[in-house]
Amino acid sequence: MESIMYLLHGLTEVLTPFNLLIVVLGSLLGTLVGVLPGLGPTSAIAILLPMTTILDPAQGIMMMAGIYYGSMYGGSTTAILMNIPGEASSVPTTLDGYPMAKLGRGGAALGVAAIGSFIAGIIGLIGLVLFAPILADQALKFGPPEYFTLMLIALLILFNLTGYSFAKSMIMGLFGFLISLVGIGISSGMPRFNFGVGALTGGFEMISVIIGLFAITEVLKGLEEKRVSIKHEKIKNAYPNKADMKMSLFPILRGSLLGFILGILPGVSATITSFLSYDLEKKVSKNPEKFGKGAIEGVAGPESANNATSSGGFIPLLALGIPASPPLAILLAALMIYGLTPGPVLFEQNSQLVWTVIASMFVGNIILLILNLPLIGLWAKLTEVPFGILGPLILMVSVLGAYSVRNSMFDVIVAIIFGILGYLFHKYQWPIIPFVLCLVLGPKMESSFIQSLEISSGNLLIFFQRPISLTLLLLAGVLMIISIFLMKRTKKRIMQETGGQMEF
Amino acid sequence: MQIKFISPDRIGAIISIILGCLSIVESIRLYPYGNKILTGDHTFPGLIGVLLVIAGGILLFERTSKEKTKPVLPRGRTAFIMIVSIGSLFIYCLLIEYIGYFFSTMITFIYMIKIIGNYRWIFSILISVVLTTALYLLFIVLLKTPFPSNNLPF
Repeated sequence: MESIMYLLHGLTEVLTPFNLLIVVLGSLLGTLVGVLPGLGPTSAIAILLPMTTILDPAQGIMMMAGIYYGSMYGGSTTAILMNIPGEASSVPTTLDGYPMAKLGRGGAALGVAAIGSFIAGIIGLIGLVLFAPILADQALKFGPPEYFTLMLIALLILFNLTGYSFAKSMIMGLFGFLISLVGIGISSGMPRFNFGVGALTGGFEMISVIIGLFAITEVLKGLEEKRVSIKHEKIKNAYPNKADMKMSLFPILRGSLLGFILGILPGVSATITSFLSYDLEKKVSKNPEKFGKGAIEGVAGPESANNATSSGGFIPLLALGIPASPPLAILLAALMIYGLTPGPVLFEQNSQLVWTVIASMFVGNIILLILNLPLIGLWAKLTEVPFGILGPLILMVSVLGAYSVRNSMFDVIVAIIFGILGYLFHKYQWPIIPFVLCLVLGPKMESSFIQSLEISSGNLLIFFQRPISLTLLLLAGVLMIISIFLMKRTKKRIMQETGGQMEF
Repeated sequence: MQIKFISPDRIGAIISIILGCLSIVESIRLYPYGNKILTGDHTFPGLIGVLLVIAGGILLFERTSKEKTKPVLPRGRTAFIMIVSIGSLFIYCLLIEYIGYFFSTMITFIYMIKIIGNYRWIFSILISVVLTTALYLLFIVLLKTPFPSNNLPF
C-alpha cells in the first residue's frame, strides 16, 4: 500500500509540463534511434546518454528510461518490416513478423507488437512496484560479503549464458575488470596500470568505452555489410483488427508473465524468454503449421516476453544495483554519473526520485502506445535513411558524445579504439556482454571484496560462514544448472533460425 | 609447404596470458602499499591476473571444432572505407585542437559522406553543413560542451 502511495506521489511529479516533455522526448528519441537498422536499445542509450547530462538527475534518468523503452519499440519496427533484428532478442519477432509484412499485414504486426509491449511493460512495472521495495528492504540486511557473492554469482551465470565458449566469456569478463581497475586505487590512492601515462591516471570513462563498443562498432559492421537503405514492405492497415487482437490476447498475457517471472532470475536475458515464448505459442497453438508463415501469435508472444523481461530487469537494478543486461548496465553507469548508487539505500535515501522515475515509466509506456500506433508510417519511413549519411552521423555523434562526458580528447581516442576492438570481438565471436557488465560492476565488486576481507581479517571463509551469503551460494548452484539448460536450448534455437552463432 | 596459422582464438588466448602477466606484475608493484595479502589495491589485479592466465591457458589448449566457419576480414574497397573512416576520426581529433569545432567537423563530415555514401561533392557539402550546424546547436549551444576554440570563426 505504501508503494502505491509513493507511486501516486511520483505520478504527480511526472505530470508536470516539463517532466512530461522530457518523457515524450526520451520516448521519441529512443524510438528514432531504435528504428534505425542495426541499432538496438544498447546503442541507443550509449549514443544518447551524453545528451541527458544537462538535466537534473531525476529528469535525466526519466529521459534514459524513455529512451530505453522507445528503442525497444523501435527495434521491433525493423525486425518486422525489414527482417533486421536490432538485437538477438528481436530474432523471434522476425520469424512471423516479416512474413506478415510480406503479406501486406505489417501494420497489424506492428500494432500488435506495440500493444503487446505496452501490456507487458505495464505488467513488468506492476511487478517492479510490488517486488522492488520488498527486495530492497531485505537487501538492507546485506553486508559487503553478501554483495560480493551476489555480484559474483550474477556474473558467473551470465558468463555461461552468452552463447559462446565459457573460457572466452570468462576472459572477456576479466578484461572488463582489468579496464575498470585502471586509475586511482581505492585503498592506497596510488595510480594503477597507468604506466607513467598521465591520462591513464583518471581511468577509462565507462561511457566512452560503451560508445565505442556499441555505436562505432555498429558503423564498422554496417560498412562491412555494405548496408544500403533496404526497401521495407508497404504498410496497408496501421491497426490490428478485432480478430487479430482476439488471437493475440492470450499470447500477450502468456509472454508477459513468462518474460517477467524468468526475467527476475539473474542471467536470463530477453533473448531467452522471447525464444521460449515463441516456442510456447507454437506448442499451444491449434495451427502450429502457420508459424513461420505469418502467425500473429508469433509476434505477440515474443514481443511481450521481450518487454516484460526488460521491465523485470529493473527490479535487481534498482533494488540491488545489479544490471541484468548491457542496456541496464549503461543505465547503472548513468545513475552513477548522476551521483546515485543503485541498491537498497537508493530506496531509503532517494525514495522520491526512484518513485518519480518508476511513475515516468508508466507514463512513458502510455505515451509510446499513443504515439507509436499513429506514427508507424513515419517510423517505417525513417528506416529508409541511407547508411551513407547515417554512418558518418553516428560516428560524429559518438566522438562528440564521448568528448562531452569529461571534456577530454583522451576519452574520444578510447572510444575509437574500443570501436575497433568491438568490431574485432564481433568478428571473432568474443562476447561483449560479460565485458560491459564486469566493467560497470568492477569497482563495486572490488570494494565489497576488500571490505569483506577487512571485516574477517583476511579470512576467505567469510563468504561461506554468513547465513545469507551461504544461502545465495546454494541458490546459485540451482540457478547455474537452470542456466546451462536454458543456454543450450537458446543456442540451438538461434542456430536453427539464423544459421549462425549470436551473442545473447 | 602449407603454412599453418595460429587460430584467432589462440591469439586471443595468448593476449589474455600476456595481460594476465601484466596484471600480476602490477599487483607485485602495488603490494608494498597494501595492508595484508588480501586487502589492498594489489589484491584484485593479482586475482584477475592469475585468472586471466588460467582462462587463457584453457582456451589455448581447447579443441576447436572444425565445423566452425572461419571469419574473413574484409578486403579491397570495403576494407579501405573502414580504415579511412576510422582514420578520419583520429585526424578529426587532431584537427579540432587546431581549427576548432566548426570547420574540422564540417571537413570530416564532407569527407566521410563522400567516401561512405559515394555522393556528389555538392550534395556531400550541403548535407555536411546541415549536420555540422545541427550538432553545433546540440552540443555547444544546448549542452554547452567546451570544445577547443568553440566559437564560430566568423
